[in-house]
Amino acid sequence: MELVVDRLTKQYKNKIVVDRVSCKFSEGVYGLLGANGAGKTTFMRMLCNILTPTGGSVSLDGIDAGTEEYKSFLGYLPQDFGYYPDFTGMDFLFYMAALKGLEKKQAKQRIKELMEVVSLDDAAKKKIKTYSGGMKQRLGIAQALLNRPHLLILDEPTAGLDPKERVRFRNLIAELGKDSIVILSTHIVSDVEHIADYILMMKDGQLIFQSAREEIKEDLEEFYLKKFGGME
Amino acid sequence: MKNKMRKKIKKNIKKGIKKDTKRDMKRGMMAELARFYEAPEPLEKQVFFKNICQKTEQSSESNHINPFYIFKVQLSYISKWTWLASGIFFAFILLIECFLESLLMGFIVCFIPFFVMVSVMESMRSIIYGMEELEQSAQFSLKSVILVRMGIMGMENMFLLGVITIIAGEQFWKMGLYILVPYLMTSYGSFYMIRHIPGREGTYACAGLAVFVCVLMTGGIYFYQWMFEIQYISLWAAAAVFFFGMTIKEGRNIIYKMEDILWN
Repeated sequence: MELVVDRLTKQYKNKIVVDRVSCKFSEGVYGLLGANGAGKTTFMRMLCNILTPTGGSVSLDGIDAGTEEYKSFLGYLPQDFGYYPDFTGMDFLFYMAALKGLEKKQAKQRIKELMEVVSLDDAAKKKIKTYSGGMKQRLGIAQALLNRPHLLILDEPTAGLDPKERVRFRNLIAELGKDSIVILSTHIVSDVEHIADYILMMKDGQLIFQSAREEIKEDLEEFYLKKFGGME
Repeated sequence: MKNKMRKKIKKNIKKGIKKDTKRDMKRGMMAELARFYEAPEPLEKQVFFKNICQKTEQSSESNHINPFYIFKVQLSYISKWTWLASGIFFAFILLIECFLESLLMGFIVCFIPFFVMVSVMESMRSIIYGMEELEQSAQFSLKSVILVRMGIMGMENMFLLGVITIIAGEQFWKMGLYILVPYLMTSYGSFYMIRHIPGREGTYACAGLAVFVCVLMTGGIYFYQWMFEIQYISLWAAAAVFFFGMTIKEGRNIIYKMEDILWN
């Protein structure tokens, strides 16, 4: 399985937000690091076909990102997402399952499984407005996994999670990365340090670094600061 | 004869007891075996499930390309408060028609903006409640979700308005125009507000617009009654055509300029 990003560009009015980014992804966990405003979210939104690129293309095993088939392989957790106020956690997952084309029976089993994985089985029938930030984030992770995605894109997934939840989340991602492509964007280096197989760094819309984690011999945070501080 | 029967019964009972004993022994043995030998953990369970899911999805492709599937899904998720609001509005119309017939036209024309506001807000729920990004990334994209919701609410509105126009008893086309103008004015304004003011603020703006149109129509009915005379019907027709065009334009803008909303 291979995700090919070819000279992906996004320009909005006078600003180039993503500047000719090219890379290839195969199974594993990819940590996308960058400061706020580097273009990470825009890049990820283009991978999910939420934003139309100004130039370039995205394809998964030859399937273009604009197609229904591509989206059937995709799981996405946005940086910030809303919810319908009358929905319980369960309702929300059933709704997302319907939008992802899952049959009701299949969805029921999968939702039960995922609620246990993200430890929300006790809160499944409670309204989302009663959830804490961490619970809402876990619900978001659950919806991203509904269709057993081959390509999982997570934008700042650990925001709002406490340290214990972060560790659980890292273990979950590491497990998923074994047979899926997981792209995880963050500006917190420790989130990716131990689980990412590959590190990518973005600055001002450009991909300034991409490499396997094991090739970075020093501490990742120091390496990241060197790259972004220009202190080589 | 009786002895033969008794012997037969005894034989069967013994057979049964033997069978039960054999069964119990089997169960006992199985329980013992289970105690000593643990079943191994399944290997590549997730990969297996993934392959099964793909096969199921491929075989049930009709769900993925069938437009009625998304229609059915969205219909089931239309908020019950929306249906309730429509029902209450309709019930009020019937009550006024029965007991205060002279006020019927005024009531319909003045309160139609609130009816429209509820429908537009239901159609644009994704944008109002911040679900647009999640829905856009799903297989059935945000455009199709919004289009289908607009279609459902549009059909429901047209049906109700058609019935109301008939109940009102005046000339159908004349009454239709008096209802359509505030209806389309509010629709156009609400779409415009939601596109430019996303989030909950958009709903407050829509509510404000509904109040404004209501006040405008109320003022017209009580202070400018000449506007409702037959010689001015062409003005109403022109207004209806104008606001119809603007509503379609704004609706298209929402669908085709979705990216502006998502970008913001």
